[in-house]
Amino acid sequence: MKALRSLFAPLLLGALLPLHAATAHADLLADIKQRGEIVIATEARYAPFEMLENGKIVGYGKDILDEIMKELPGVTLKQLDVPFQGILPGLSSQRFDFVATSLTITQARTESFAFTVPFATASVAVLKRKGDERIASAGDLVGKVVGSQSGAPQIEVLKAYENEVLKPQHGAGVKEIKAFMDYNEAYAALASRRVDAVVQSLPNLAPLVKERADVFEIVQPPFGPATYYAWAGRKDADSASLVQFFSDGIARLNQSGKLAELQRKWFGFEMPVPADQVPAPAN
Amino acid sequence: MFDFTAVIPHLPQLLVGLASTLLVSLSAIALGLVLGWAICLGLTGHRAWLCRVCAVYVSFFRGTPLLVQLILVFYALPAVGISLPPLAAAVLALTLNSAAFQGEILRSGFQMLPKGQLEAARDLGLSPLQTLLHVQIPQVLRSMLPALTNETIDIIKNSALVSAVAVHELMRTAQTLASTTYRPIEFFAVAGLLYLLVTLCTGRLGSWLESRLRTA
Amino acid sequence: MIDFNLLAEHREAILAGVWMTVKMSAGGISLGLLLGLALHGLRQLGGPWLVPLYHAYVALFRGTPLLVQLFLVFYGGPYIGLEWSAERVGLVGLALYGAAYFAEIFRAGREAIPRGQIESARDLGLSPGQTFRVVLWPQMLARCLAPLVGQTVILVKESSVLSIITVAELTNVAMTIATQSYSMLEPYAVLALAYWAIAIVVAATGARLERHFTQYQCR
Repeated sequence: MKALRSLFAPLLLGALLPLHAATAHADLLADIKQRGEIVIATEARYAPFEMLENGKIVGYGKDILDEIMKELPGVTLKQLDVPFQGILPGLSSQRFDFVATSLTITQARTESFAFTVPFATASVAVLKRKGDERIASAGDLVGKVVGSQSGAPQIEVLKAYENEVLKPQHGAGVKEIKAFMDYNEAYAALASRRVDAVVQSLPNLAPLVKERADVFEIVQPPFGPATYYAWAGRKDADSASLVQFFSDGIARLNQSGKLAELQRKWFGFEMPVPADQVPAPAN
Repeated sequence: MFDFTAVIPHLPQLLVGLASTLLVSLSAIALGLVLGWAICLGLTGHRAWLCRVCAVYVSFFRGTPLLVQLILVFYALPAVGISLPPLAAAVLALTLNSAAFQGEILRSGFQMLPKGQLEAARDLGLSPLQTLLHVQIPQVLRSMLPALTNETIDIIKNSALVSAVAVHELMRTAQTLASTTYRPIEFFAVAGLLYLLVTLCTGRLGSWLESRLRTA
Repeated sequence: MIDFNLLAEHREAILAGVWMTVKMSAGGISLGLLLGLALHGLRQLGGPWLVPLYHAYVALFRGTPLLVQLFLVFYGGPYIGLEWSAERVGLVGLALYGAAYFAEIFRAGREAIPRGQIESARDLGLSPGQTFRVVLWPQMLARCLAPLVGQTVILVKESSVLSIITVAELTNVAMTIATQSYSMLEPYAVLALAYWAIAIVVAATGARLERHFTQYQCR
């Protein structure tokens, strides 16, 4: 490795400044303070949590991030907008210091990553085309084609619901689960009748039905277990203080009422979430 | 059903994305031409091992998806201590990719030159460097121009993939706008039109240069 | 460094993805070759309509990203009654896209043949059909093979865009594995090696064909 590095580094770095060298950190938070820059990955196609406006990342998550970054004076925020498929793998490969994009807390993810306390509920609801009378409740998903995002935890929630409720009570599951590369494609497919319904977390659906009330409609109430959105860092000892720092920041905003204020701003309603601990994942 | 007026307020953003697309792809084309010359010299040179290395390089960069190359440059290089900012990583990956294609284009250009020319140039007393500069390069450039135009068009389109490494070019801008307005069809159609506009202009520019060089 | 267990665990999905990529590219490219030849033929017929129409087709399909074309047809198609499955949209989309490139390759090959040959053939009493079959086609094939092979490799790689319309081809499978396993190295190494292997096979086949079809040019 060393030899490779000394061979390639001068060649490639001659003209281009490095973002930061991925050397062994003793403590990531201390290291960040020292280098004066933090690299955070966000997938800015997840309204209203994180989205782009005039080329800048904005949203509920960004407001929270800005509040917490006040505690790190002298550290510049380098926020990268990365496609979702690159977010967690990029965190593992040390490309970013931390991930500030809304991640559902799941069993599988807690095994590999360290989560902060949550800042929003991620409970899953059904989205349908406006006026589609075939679907009045989540139970009506029997025999339907349902869309979601590839690798998303919402698919797991749907599968669990299928096995625990649909099959025992109705004798059959959904017809097919279609996994799209991105939720926005799933919405497009619902609008163009390629799927009958989309399963997605309720807070994400709120702005969608507000903006396109002529096309979409939410089937209330959410189904499946209570799940939550949080941010994550690496699970190693180096990252522990950094994850704790963000987690404490979110908890403080939660207790001071700032979180509820931001929720009203971005979603139009409040959603109480635990401030004292990372809730145990439901699946 | 479709409402294209929803796109109008966001046109400036799309144009910024287009500028970024052009910046990335044109830098890659220019740098790729330089590296492509080096590869062409390696491929046509007399050192067998250098020729072999260049051939593997060309085979790899032409044979594997650009997306993989981008991911390697952006996510795998940090593992050996090189961490490039997104824009530099995008340009580097596109340059490495385009150099393989341009190296091949140049090589076939050189091969088409009649062997007699070299002898004639030597008889006229031209040095090898003079022969290269005044006899071979002008001809090769002229004959590779159509292929170079096509390569430029391809790179402009392929640069849509650099959003994978956090660069906001036209395609990513259209996608993110679609995700906040929930009007994907409208934004994809307009992005397609902008690509068409740019590639048509590129094609025109190529034909114009071709006709200029022919009369010169 | 590479976690082979991860690959073993997803072996079936990866193999299915490779098979889907091969199927889609083989189908799309064969169809595209036929369509490209037809387009070239229409252009050769000439006339005030066909030539501009040909150029418009080439400009449109070569000048916009395949991603945009597929997206508009797959997600926009149903609004105008076009409800093809993802596989069919992908196959036909790849063919329409490839045809624009193939037609231009045929055109370049045709234009490189000296005009005098066609006149000589006519003077010898050959019909236009015979002229094409005996004089033009063998030469075109010899000249076009190398660029056709190059374009085929490019199209195989471009078929990865089909992932955006839910076709479970290799890239789609690899990205799903990356999301679920939080690891990029293994899935992307598989992508690189699989596409490279396909490219090498295509190039080797192309080189054999080229030797076969250029035999008569050797002296």
